[in-house]
Formats: sequence, C-alpha cells, structure tokens
Amino acid sequence: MYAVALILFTAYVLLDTFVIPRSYAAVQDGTIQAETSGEDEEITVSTSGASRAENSADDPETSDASDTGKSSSAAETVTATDTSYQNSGVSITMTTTRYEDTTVYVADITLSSAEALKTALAKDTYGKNLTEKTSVMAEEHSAVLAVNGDYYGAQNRGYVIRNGTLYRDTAASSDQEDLVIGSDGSFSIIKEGDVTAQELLDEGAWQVFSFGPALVEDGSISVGTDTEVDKAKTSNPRTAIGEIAQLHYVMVVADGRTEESAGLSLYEFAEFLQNLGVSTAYNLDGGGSSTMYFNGQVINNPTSGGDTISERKVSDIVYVGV
Amino acid sequence: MRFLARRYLLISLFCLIFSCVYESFSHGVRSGFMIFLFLFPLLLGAVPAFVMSIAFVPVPSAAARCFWHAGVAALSVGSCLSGILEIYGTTSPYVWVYWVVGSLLLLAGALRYFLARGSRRSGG
Repeated sequence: MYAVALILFTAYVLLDTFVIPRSYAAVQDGTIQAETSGEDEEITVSTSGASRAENSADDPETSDASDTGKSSSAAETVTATDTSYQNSGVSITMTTTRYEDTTVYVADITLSSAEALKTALAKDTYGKNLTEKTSVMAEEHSAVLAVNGDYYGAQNRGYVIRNGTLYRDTAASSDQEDLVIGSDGSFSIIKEGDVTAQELLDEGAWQVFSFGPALVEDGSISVGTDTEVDKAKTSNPRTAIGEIAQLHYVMVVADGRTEESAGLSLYEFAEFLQNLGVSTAYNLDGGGSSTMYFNGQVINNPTSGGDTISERKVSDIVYVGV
Repeated sequence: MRFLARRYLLISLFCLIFSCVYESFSHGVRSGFMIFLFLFPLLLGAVPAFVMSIAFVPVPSAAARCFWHAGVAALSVGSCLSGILEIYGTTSPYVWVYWVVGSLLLLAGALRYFLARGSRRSGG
C-alpha cells in the first residue's frame, strides 16, 4: 500500500512538473487586460507609470508599428537577405563565427525605438508547462529575429515582468541576478534580494528575465572561469542578449553538444560577448533551449532531446518585431 | 540481518549505477542529490543492518523495520527526484514531502525500536 502511494505521488509530481499545463493570473490584473486586448501597443501600466509611448525614439512612424500587423508606412522599404534585415526602424546584421570549436550566431541589432524589442509568452499565456517552439512563437508575432527567453515556466520562483506586466513577484533567491530592460530599452542587472518586482515595475522595468548569470557588466566579465548555471561544468549551447549602446543590441546563440560544435562555458561565452563590445550581457536559458530564428527560419542547430538536432518547446522568447 | 544488509547493498549498487548513467546523459550538469543517491540505502540500510548483524543487538520488530524501510524509500526516491529536477533545471513545490515524510518514518522506526528495547530491559 505504501509503495503504491509512493509511486502514485511521484508520478503526480512528475506530471505536475513536466506535463500538466496551468495558466496563472498576473500579479496586476489591470495590465493583463491591456496586454491581451491587442488594440494598441502603447500600453500604459497604471501602477508603474512606465509606458512605451513615453520612451519612443524620434521616428514617430516606426514607433507606431506593432506586432498586430500594422505597418508604419505603406511606402516603407524593407531589405531582407539571408544575413540582414533593414527597414526604417530596424537594422539587423547576422554573422556566424567559430569560437572555441563552436559555431556562434550573432545578430547585431540597431533599433530606432525600444518598442521593437519585445517578448512573447508561449500560447500568449502566462503559466506552467505552457510551451511552444521559438520559431512558432516568432511566426505568430511576426518576428524578424527571435531567441529563446529564460524559460520562466520551469521555475516556480523568480521575477517575471514582460511587456510591462508583472506576472511573478516571488524572488528565486537573494543572489539571483536578473536582467532588467527598461522602457527606454536600457539594460541593467539587479539582484532579486536587493529590490522587489513591484519596485522594478514602478521604476519603469519593461522586461525582467530571471535566469542568468550576468555575463558582462559595465564592459567587464562578471563570471569566473568556474561559474556555471546550476552545477554545469562543461561546454553547452548558450543564448545571451547584450546591449552595446542605447538601442544597439546583440542576440547571440552558440551551438553545442554536437560533433561540429562543442559548446561554450559561461566564461568563454562572456569573453566572446565582451569582444563584441557589449556593456551589459545576460545569459538566457541554454542547452536544448538555445534557438535563434531569423527571417522565417531557425538558423542554429538546437539540440533538444540530448544531442539530436531538433527544436525544443520553451516558455517564452525575446524578439525583434516590425 | 545479513540478508537485509546484502539486499540494501544491492539497492545501493543499483542507485549508484542509475545515477552514473543518468549523469552521463546530463551534459555536464551535476546534482549532488543524484550523485549521492546511493548513500541513502547504503548508510541508512546496509550499514545499520550489517552492524546489527555483528553487534548482537536485538533485532528490530517487524513494525520498526517497516517504518525504517519506508523512510529509506521515501528519502531515496526524494533524492532521485530532486536530482532529476535539478539536472533539468526546474523545481517542484512537492519535493519537501519526501524529506519530511521520510524523516518522520525513520524517526518512527527508531522510536519503535528503542522504546521496545527500553521496555524489554525494564521488563527483564
């Protein structure tokens, strides 16, 4: 009888952790309504005072564009190749390089408005075990470029703020380093023990990612040679996002776990990002989750299911929309 | 008790092999819960059973042994599950149940054993 109870309970824990989908309410209900209405990208978060409309860059045409398909201008010229994308508000240049026996994909992004740097949740719902492939989410949101996010759904704690909505305000730990993207598009690194999620929102945080660690801060590498995510001590596929200057970013994905690409340690990854000239860089979910989507296709080699080349479903993406 | 010690030793060996195989597919992600999984049946099962077999101490009653086995099982499964979750990079709000229930069952088994010894001494 006891053995049966132990097995059944364990089965439930596994199902709850990996299978059973659950959707949760955001901490701030008012912002959910604004988020899901889809009527206007210029969402105003009443309690925080943060608004993308206040922080749009000079180009009013570009800042009016949203992922609902509205075009900023009927006569807008879009130039897209396999390695670049350019319109009036977005300029992306893709490069692929080899570093430490690993293929690394770098998207150099220049925006005219912070509005174009966005995030999306799988199935447009905040919850647990709600996942979609990065490429599917990217297509659903008309993204030009996308990478996987922090896979917030795998954790029960850690701040989650997306597009100005506070979804989770429970700290993972006092030392948990988060990436905060302000409504003006600026990057900063905070520790969850130093500030509450509500305070971040009040100060104008537009996106908060709770994975980490921070790879580069103020242009200096902020991880040691033996620093790793959890207990990983080996090379792995990686995803990171970094800020070079105001509205100038990089999204970087490193392959790994294949014969062609060994993968990078966090320190190697931080070194690579530092060489790109970033002032701030942050490690997002890696391993099998690491995926980069550009111009309608996945351009790296995601290794979901061990070392098999296939794309993993994840909780969220960071993307550049038009 | 020697038979019990051997059985726990086999379970420890199984746990050791299981954790080695699991870790070998974890792409370098390490978890102490998985690495040291074998210690639960070894230190809480095989070692006490072997000591009892050579120390000529009273054999625990069936009830005490039942509580103890159940506790070792809960802690071992809890450790294995914690290792799986840690290697995957996730958490569960239910893992604490294994540690609490396992510890309570061990405590119940130990109390049952020592109280029975105490009553036998006072009765004798």
